[in-house]
Parts: sequence; structure tokens; C-alpha cells
Amino acid sequence: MLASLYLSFTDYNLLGQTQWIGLDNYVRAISDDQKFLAAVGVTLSYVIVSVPLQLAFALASAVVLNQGLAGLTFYRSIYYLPSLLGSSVAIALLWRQIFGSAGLVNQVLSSIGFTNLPAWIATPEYALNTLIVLHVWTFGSPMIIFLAGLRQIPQDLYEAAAVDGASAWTKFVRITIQLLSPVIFFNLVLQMIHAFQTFTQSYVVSAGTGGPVNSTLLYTLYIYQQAFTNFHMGYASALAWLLTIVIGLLTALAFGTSNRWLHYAGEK
Amino acid sequence: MSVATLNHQATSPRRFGKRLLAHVAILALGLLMIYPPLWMLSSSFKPAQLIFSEPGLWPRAITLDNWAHGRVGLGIPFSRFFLNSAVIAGLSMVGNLFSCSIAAYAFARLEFRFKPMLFALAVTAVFTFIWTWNDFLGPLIYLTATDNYTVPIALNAFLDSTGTSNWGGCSPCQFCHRCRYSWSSCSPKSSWSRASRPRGSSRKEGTRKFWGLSDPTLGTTQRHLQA
Repeated sequence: MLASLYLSFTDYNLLGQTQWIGLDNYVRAISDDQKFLAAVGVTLSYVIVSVPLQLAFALASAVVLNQGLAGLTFYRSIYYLPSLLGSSVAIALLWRQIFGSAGLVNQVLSSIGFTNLPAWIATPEYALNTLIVLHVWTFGSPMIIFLAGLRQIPQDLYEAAAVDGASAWTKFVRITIQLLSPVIFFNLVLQMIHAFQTFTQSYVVSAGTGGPVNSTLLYTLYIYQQAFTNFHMGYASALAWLLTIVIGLLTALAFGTSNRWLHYAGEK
Repeated sequence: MSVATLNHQATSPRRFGKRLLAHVAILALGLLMIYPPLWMLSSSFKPAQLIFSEPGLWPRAITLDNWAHGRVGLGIPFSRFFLNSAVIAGLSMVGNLFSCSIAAYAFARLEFRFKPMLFALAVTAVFTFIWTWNDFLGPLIYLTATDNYTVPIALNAFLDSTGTSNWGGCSPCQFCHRCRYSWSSCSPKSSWSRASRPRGSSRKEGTRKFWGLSDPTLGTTQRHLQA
């Protein structure tokens, strides 16, 4: 990390000498690089949409699976499987097929009457959404953690609420969400960091270009392009450090505000 | 007949219906979840021209060529990819577990100056730009071992702080050394973290791009990309 920090203040292209240029890389990124701004915009859209959606799916699935249904182990395995495969190259390749012009999605939609369907992966308006769907699809990992958290909530709280005539929704909001808030917070922080680091899906789906029209240019892909395509290692290091700072600030913000909405067992 | 029995009889069909509905919903969503892996399995038995032209799972024509020729199709034995991935996954898991265990123990059990700041640093220091080592297996193992640092640290500390872990309530035995306490009391409770390591290790290894390098850095992910 220290080495990359040093590099971020230099002009270095792997072959020549490193030349100290101070903060020029950082200034250039913020003030004179339209593609950098595009990558930031795409990445923020990706994180802001995909993380809450993923956590919502994870929590909903965990609540359903926590009903004591038979076959829980089987269901849990099925739902967890995409988390193992989600960032694999094979799945990203498959995603290109599924959302292609003649892909599975369009075949299903056309079979129920839709016409003039786009190639989702090749249309700037929709391309990022396919990556978001891919990210949400891997909700098994936070789901497992939610399940572990749900198991720790005392059942007598629900029984007491039922005696008081609380509805299922009230019990969910007043008991489940409240007592699960530390686990939600934990998942939120980790999934946010994970989403910021997404690379493989963007690289494979866009064939390394971030296209169409930079619509899938996630920040890590842009770092990769600068480092291994343009060989601007110093600039890429500065970009990587900017990302680290942003993630750090967002994490600090989450920790700083956590006392307002977290409920820890045993606290008043 | 007791009131409880009456209530049970009144609610049983409804509960059965709800459970049936839950099973149907879970299975339907589950099918969507596992379609891609099943498609991959199915594709491995399809001729190349059919793989992207038919989305169905049952192949119209079945071939074993992908399994037979894919093994050596790129000129490098398949075993080389698996061996490289296994070495990286295995060694990085050991390094990861060691570093995470001692760090998680410190964050969860010890009080020291700048603890919140260091914890935040540990959580966020997951994106180190890699450039210095690109010619040997060791750096991959090192990077993978340290890159997943945050997860078990955060998890153990969180579980401990939230009281959702059984070991939140245990205390050091009177005659035990602190290290022994850490090993015997805390390590068993983190067993599922161990189970999650190979996945993370493999994923992280896959995100590192070291194309054009010598054999030892090729893993199964690179094999996918080449294929």
C-alpha cells in the first residue's frame, strides 16, 4: 500500500524511470478527466441501487427461510450457490448471453407478447442494470448472515407481541428489524465495499471496454484500463487511493451514524 | 376438547396453505437462482454452435468433446490450472485464517489506543493497488491472504459486540494463557469463517489480472477467460 501511495505521486509507465510529480495525478483525475467522472457516476449508481436491493432480497429470503420449513438446508444451499459463482468469469459470460438480443430474457419476453426488445447488454440505458441484476442475484451470502442473526432473536418477544395483538408487519418492523439492525449494518458496510470493488462482471460483460458508451465502466475497470492498457501506473495508483479514501469516508460515515439507528441487545 | 386443540384445528389448513405457498415461492425463486449453474453444466455437453443458440437446459445434441478436448485444448494441461488455484487457495486460506484470527481476537477482546481508527482502517484497507509483484506465485498468495482480511475481523467483532455469538459470554479460564484461550475458546466458533475462505480466495485470485505471465500464475479463472 505504501508503495502504491508513493507511485500515486509519480509519473510511471512500467518501463521508464519514475518521476515525482506531486499531486498532479489527483488534480488531473478530479479536474481534467471526463472518463474518470463517468466511471465515478456509473460506480455510484451501481452501488446505490444494487446494495440496498441485494440486502432487501437477502433479508426477505432469510425471513421466509426462517419459518422452520422442511428442506431448509436444501433451499439455503440453492440460494447460496450464486454467491459462490457470481463473480466468476463463466457467469459473466453467461450474463452476456442471457441479456443479449437473442438471449433468454428476450426469448421469454417475446413468448409472452413483447416486441421490439433491445439487446439489454448493448444498450447504454440498460447495460448497467444487467450488472445490477447480477449483483443482486448473489444475495445468498448476506442472506446466510441474516439467517444467523434471525436465529438469535428470542422467540418470546414474538410471542409477547402476538399476545398484545401485533400484526406480522408490526412484529417485523418493531422486533425483527430492531434486533437485526447490527447485522444489517454489518452487511451494509461489507456489501458496499464489495460493490465498490466489482470488476470481473464489468470487465467480461463489456469485453474490457466499459461500454457501450461507458455505461458499464465501473471504477475498478477504469483503474485496470489505466494501469494495464495505458500503462499509467502512477495515475492508476492515484485512482486506487481515491477509491480507498472514498470507501474509508463512507465506512466512517456509516460507523459515525450507526449509534442513531443501531439497536444492541442489552442496551436501553 | 380444549381451546388449544380447537385453535389448532381451526388454523391447521391455513397454516398448511401458507407453508405450501412458501415452499412454492421458494422453489420458484430457487429455480431462477440455479438456472445459470445448470446452464453451464448443460452447455458443457453441447456442441459449440448450440451453446449460445439454445437457452434450454436439455441439449438437443449431446457431446463429450468439451470434456475430452477442453482438458488439453489450450496446450496447457488442465491439472496445471487446478494445481495453481489449489496452491493459492490453500496457502492463502492458511495465511488469511492466521492473520484474521489474531486480528479479530484483538479487536473483539483487547482494549488499546486508536482501536476504532485501526478497525476502520482494517475494514477499508481492502483495496491495495497491486503492481509491484507480478512475476511469481507468492505475491498472489500474499495478496489473497491479506485482501480478505476485513471479513472475519468485522464479522467476529460484530457478532461479539451484538451478542449474537455464544462466545461473547465466555471468559478466560483462570489458569489459561491468553493465547490458549484464544485458540481453544474462539477458534472453534469461527469454523464457518474457515468454510467461507476458499470461495473468497478463489474470487480474489480471479480478480487479479496477470495475463502474459508464466505458468504458475494461471488459475482456473484465467483458464475461463482464455476459453
